[in-house]
Amino acid sequence: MRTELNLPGMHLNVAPRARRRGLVALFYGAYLAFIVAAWAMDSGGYAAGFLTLEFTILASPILGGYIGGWFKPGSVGLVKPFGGNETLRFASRIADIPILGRIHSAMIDSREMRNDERDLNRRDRAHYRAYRVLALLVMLGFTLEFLNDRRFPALESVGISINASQHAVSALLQMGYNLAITLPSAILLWTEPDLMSEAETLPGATQ
Amino acid sequence: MSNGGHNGDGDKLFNRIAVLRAERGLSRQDLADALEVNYQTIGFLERGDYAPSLTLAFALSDYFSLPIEAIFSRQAFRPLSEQVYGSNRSAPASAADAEKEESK
Repeated sequence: MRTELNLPGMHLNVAPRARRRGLVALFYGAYLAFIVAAWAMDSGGYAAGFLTLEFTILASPILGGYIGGWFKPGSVGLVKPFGGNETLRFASRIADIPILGRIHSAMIDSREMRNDERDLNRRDRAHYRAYRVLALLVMLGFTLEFLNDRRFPALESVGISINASQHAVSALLQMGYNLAITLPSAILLWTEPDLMSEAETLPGATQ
Repeated sequence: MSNGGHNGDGDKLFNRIAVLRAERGLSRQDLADALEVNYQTIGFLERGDYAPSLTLAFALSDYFSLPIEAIFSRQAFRPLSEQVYGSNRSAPASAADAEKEESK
């Protein structure tokens, strides 16, 4: 995991966990605000769907993991690429191919890409936690879909009315799309203890 | 000097990695490069926030040329100064005395 967020004109030290948590809260807060505004403007949910797609593609590279952090130039992802080890294995296979190998090695920073045993352990645990949230969303979506436009005369006769909107299902799907890509990285950023900066790795800096 | 880490089963694991690294004048990055791990992992090991796999423990043992039990322990390590000079903190007269003290 990177200790600094580098965006054009901005360098933010994210080694302290509190800052990373603030960043994650800001990320999902912004997404939620955009989505609520989009649904308010367009009750059909098309704007929200488009916004989810755009937000996920444009903002998710900040978190890293699945999107972002793959290449040296302009790389901003805080979490190392989840498939970094596979990429390095692929790079070693094509290293001897004349032009391709040279381009590939110039593009990829192996230190930034390599996931060691602790990284893999944390990555897998984050996916387990994210899976539970996504499974809950799917179950909720399925339940709402099942209830949509269905009538339950027996319940209505005793004054209970159940009516699930198709819009709620759409909103859940949109959130699910965003969370499927961003949640494991967000969990890692949220849970990882305070990190050491590069400066602390210098000789003599032994804590 | 020695930090406790949890191996997931609730057993605490202490280590001397920070001391061994400082003795050899290595940065975390140097040690991380030698062991093919990230420097953050070395930091987490030293802080006791991570208990390594057996593979990494053996790699550390090979790197420092020390038995695993000299690097890791399930009991907190005594500070080296205490081991050399004794618990009453009275300095031995010579290195030979210190060795005798150690052998006790």
